[in-house]
Amino acid sequence: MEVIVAQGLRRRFGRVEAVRGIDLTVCRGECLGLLGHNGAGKSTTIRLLLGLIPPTAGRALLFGLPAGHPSVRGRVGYSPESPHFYPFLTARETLDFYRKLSGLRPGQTDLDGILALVGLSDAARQQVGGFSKGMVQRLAVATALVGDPGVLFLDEPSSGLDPAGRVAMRALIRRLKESGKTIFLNTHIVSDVAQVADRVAFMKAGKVVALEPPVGDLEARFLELMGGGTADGPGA
Amino acid sequence: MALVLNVVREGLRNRSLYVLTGVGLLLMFLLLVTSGGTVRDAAGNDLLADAAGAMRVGFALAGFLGALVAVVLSMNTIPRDCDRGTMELLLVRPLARWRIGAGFFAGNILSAWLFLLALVVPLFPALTLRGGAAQVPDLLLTLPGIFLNVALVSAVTTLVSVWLPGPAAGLVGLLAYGLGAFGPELAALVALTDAWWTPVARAGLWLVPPTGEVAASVLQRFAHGGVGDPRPVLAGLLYLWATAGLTAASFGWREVSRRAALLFLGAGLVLTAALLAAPDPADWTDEDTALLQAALRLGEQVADLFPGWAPQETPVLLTKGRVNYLVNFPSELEAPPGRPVGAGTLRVVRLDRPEVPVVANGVVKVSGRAVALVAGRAQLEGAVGRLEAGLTLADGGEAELLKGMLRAGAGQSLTDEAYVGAVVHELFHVHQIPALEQWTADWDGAYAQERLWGEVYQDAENNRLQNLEAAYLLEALQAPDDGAARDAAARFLAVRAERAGYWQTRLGPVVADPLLELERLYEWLEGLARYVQAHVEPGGVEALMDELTEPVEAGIARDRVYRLGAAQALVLDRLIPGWRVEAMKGVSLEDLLREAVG
Repeated sequence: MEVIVAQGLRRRFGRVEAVRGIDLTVCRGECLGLLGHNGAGKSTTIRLLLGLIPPTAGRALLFGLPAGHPSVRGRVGYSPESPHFYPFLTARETLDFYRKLSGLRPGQTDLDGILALVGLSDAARQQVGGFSKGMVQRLAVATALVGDPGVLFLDEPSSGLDPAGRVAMRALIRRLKESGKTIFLNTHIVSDVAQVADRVAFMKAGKVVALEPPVGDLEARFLELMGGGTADGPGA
Repeated sequence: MALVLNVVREGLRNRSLYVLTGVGLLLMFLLLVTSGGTVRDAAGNDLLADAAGAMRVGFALAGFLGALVAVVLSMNTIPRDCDRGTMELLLVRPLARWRIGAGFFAGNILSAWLFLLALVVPLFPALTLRGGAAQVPDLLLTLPGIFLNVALVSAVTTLVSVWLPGPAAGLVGLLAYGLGAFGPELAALVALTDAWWTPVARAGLWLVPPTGEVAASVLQRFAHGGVGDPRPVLAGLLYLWATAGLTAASFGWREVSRRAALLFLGAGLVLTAALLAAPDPADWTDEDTALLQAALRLGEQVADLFPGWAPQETPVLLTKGRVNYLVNFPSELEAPPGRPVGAGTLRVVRLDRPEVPVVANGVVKVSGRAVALVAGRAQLEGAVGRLEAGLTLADGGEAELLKGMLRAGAGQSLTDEAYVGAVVHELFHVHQIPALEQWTADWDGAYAQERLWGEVYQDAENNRLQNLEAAYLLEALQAPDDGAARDAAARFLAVRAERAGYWQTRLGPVVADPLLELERLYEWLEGLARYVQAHVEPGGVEALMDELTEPVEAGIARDRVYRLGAAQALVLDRLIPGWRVEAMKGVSLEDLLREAVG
C-alpha cells in the first residue's frame, strides 16, 4: 500500500525553485532514504510532504489524503533537522507536552517505553536545556514516536552526532523499521542510507535523479550521480 | 491548554521582564511609599500629596509598565518558535492549527497579566501605608480596566508577530499602545478634517486598540461623577475578540470546527449587541433639554444686569466630544449640515461633523457667528474628574479651565445648578465678545498666560498681597455703609498698586505691565461672567464671599481672576450703580473702582 505519494511536486521561493518536480512513492513498512548534498532540496521536500508548506505545483498525499490534512497528522511523526525543545521541560515533560498536543490521554502512549527505545531513560527527569546535541536528536526522534505514528519523517537524524551517536541512531532507525514503521529518511550521510534504507532517492538541485535499491558501492554511485557535488543538473 | 502553560512558563523565564518589573516596583516604592518625588498635574497640584492621588499615579505607572511588559513578552513568542523550529513540531501534531494560534495568544496575555499582577499587588499595601485603606474597593474596581488594556496591547503585538519579525512586531505593538492612549484625541483631530484621506484615517482608527478610552472610563472610578460609560470596555473586549480570531485564523482557519466557529461568532454577536445597546453618552437627552432650557430661562432673568444681553437669542454649541449639537442657531444664517433633534422648545441640530470635537467650554464662531460653547453635563463632569484623576495629558488645559470655572472641589459632584450656572457663564461670554475687542492685552497668548499663572501667581510676595486684596474686597462687601465700603475699596486699590510696583521692580515695566494688563483683562472677562453666574446660582453671591476668605494659594492659579474679578464687580454694585454699562465698553473693573473711590 502506498503511504507517501509525491506527484510533480514543485516549490518555489521567490526566484529560486527549491523543488523542481518530484515523483515518488513510499509503501507501508518501507524505508526510503533521500540522499543529496546540502541545499539539494531535501528538507523542503519533507516539509512539502508534511504539509508544512504548500507546493507551488503538484501534490503530496499521505495515506491517500492531502499532506497536512488534520486526520493525517495524527499518523505521522516528524523529527526535524535542527530540533529545539523548551529548555525548562524535562525529557519526559517534553514527551508529555506533545502527547497532550496530540490529543492523547495519559497512558494511551508509553512515554517511558519511548524514552527507553531512544536511550534516554536515565535522562528522563533532566531538563532539556542541559542536553547534548546527540540527546536532543534522540529526543526529537522520541517526540516523533509519541502517538505511535505509522510514518516517520526523519530529517538528518545523525546530523552533528559523534560516530558512536551515529551508530546508535542507525540502530534505532533499524529497530523502528523492524517494528513496521514506514520511514522517510532524509540525509546526506551515505552510510546511514546504505545500512537502513530499502530504496534510495538521489536528489540534486531540486530533482530526484535516481530512485533505486542501495546495492553495490553506494558511495561511488552517489559521486557518480552527484557529479562531484555540483548542483547544476543531473550528473549522470 | 498545554501550549498556553508552556508559553506562560517560557514568558516567565524572560529575565529582561524581571528587570523591567523590578525597576517599576522600585519606582513605585519611591514615589508612593517614601514620597520621594513630586508628580504635578497640569494645574500644578501635587498628585502624590494624598493617598488617592498617589494611587492614581501608581495605577497609571503600573498600566504603563504593564503595557511595556506585554509588548516585550508578546513580540517574540511566535517568531522565536518559528525561527528555532519548534513551531513545525507543533504544526505537524493532530491539534487543529487555529488552536496553536489561540494558545500563543492566550499564553502571551496570561504571562503579561502575571507580571502586571506583580506590579499591581504592591499598590494595596502602599495604599494602606499611605492611609488610604478606604480606597481599596475603588482600586479593585479599576483593575479590570488595566488588565484589559494590557491584554489589548499583548493581543495586537501577538497578531502582528504572526507576520513580522519580533522587533518589528514590538515596534508595532508600542505604536498601537501609543496611538491607543491618545485615541480620543486622534479621533477628535480626524473629525476636524475633511480631506481625501479623512475616511482612510477614520478607518485606520478602528485598527488602534481603544486603550485610551478604557483607561479614561476606568480612571473615572477615582473621580467624582462623570459618565458611567460601559462602551469603551465593550469596545476593548470586541477588539480582543477580533484580534484573537485573526491570530487563530492565521494559523489555519480551515480547521476551525463548526462548533468552535459558532461559539466564536456568537461571542462576537453578543459583544456587538451589547455595544450597540449600551446608551451612547453622546446622544441628546431630555436632561440636556431641561438643563439648557433652565440656563436660558435663568439667564433671561438676570439679563437686565447688562442691557442688550439676550441669552434666549444666544446660540449654543453643545459638545459631547465626538458629537456636537447646535442649539437655537439663527435660521437666517447658514448652519453646518446636520439633522434636527426633538428637544422641546429648543431648535437642536446634531451636526454631521463636530465643530469642537473635545470637551470644552468657551466661545466659538460657527458660520461667522459667535456661539456659546458648552460641554454636556456628564462630559463636563467627566473632564473635571479626569483632571482630578491625573489624566491631564491631553485635555488638561481645558479641564483646568473648567475646574476653575465650576469651582469643583475634589470629590464633589457637579450639581444641576452649577452646570446651569456654567452655561449662563458662557452665554454671557458671547455678549462680551464685541467689548473684548477694545482690549489690547494679549489675552490669547499662551506664553503670557503661562507666565501669569506659573510665575506671578506662584510668587510668595504676590500671593501675600493678593490675599490682602481679597480681604479688603470682602471688607468692602461686608461694610455697614457705602463710606466704609469705599475706604475698603481704596485699600484694595492701594495693595494692588503696591503689587504692581513689586512686579515692575522685579521684572521691569516692559515685562510686568503687559502681564498686569492681562490680569485686568481676565478679571474683566472671567470675573464678570462669574458675577453673572453667581446671580443665577442659589446662594451664589454668598459662596463667592466665602471664597474670598480662602487663601489664594489654595485653589488653582487661574481661579483667582474669577473670584477677585467677580468680587470687584460686587463692590462696584455698592459704589456706582451704572458701572455695568461702562464695563461693557471694555473698561477694566480696577479702573471703574478707582473712579468710584475717587
